[in-house]
Amino acid sequence: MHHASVDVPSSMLGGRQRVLGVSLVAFGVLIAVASAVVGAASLSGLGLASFLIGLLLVYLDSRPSFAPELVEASLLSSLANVERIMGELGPRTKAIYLKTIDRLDVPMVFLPLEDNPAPPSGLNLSGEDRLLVIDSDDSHRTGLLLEAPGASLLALMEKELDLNFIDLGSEDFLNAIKSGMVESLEVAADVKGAFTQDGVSFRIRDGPLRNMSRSIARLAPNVASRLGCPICSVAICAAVKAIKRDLILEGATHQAGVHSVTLRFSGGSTDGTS
Amino acid sequence: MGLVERYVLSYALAIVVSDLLLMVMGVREIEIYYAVYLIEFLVSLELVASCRRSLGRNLRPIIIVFLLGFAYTVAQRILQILS
Repeated sequence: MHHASVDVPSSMLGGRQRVLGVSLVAFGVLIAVASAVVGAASLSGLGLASFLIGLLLVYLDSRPSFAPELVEASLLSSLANVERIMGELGPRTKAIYLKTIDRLDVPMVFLPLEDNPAPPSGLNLSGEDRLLVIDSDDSHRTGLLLEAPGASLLALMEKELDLNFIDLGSEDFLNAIKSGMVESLEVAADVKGAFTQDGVSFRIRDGPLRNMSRSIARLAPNVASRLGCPICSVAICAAVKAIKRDLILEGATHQAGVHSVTLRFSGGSTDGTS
Repeated sequence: MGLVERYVLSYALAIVVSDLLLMVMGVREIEIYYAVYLIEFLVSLELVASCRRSLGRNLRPIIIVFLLGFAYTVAQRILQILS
């Protein structure tokens, strides 16, 4: 079994930012003093500007920041365990991202144990809290019920954007996903989404976490391709919340820094397109 | 370049441009400079914070420091006028 190998954290830029900030503060004070001595009042504005920018830089540098390698290291072992569970229990079935009904629902993903090419349009598992769901009467309802790998990231994204994807329509959610993943969380460099009658597809270009995506695809290939890595999954969770329908993950590929995700509506196509 | 870096850079650019404009206009009162910088800071922060609410929360101490600085310059000016 492979052990999760993580690169050594790269040197932080924080030190340089602090030096620049302190230099600007000192420069600002010097300019202010000099302008008072020589009586050039207009120069004091420049000193004040330098002082304020320096203060801002020093303060921002004092905030905790984490290297992408640390995020990767904290995640890989958990995903490796999910990979082992899937390897031992899960057959070659497609995962179904279940629709959320309530604003506070955590997005869940269901992995049927039996191959099921045509799952029902509404797979109601809202009352279930077991990992392994077994229903002897209905094979559609037998499988692994997991919290989606991107559920926590989605919660953070919604908090940063100050919105809930359940309130968005199918017209607005693609822009919100892009804004959230690229600007708010900075987990992707670019997100392109397409919403059609049959489903949704995403093309996500990796950002600072490209090494993490590569490691997940290498160490947990079943999780990456059949559940989606956390980065793919956050986009899928947001789509499920906005569209309010179950979505079947047809496939997720991770190649050359690009995630390609294809989703199909469970139980047929939808009426609305964009 | 990340959101925070772009924010700091755009704010730095804004205050340098406004500083030059105020200098060209012959403004000599430091509290006017301070007021303009403070407004630029708050406006740019509000623009960025729509994408990242935590940035607004994190910068709250800096906002308080800037506002205290502004209050100090205004108080100084009032005392100067009164005396």
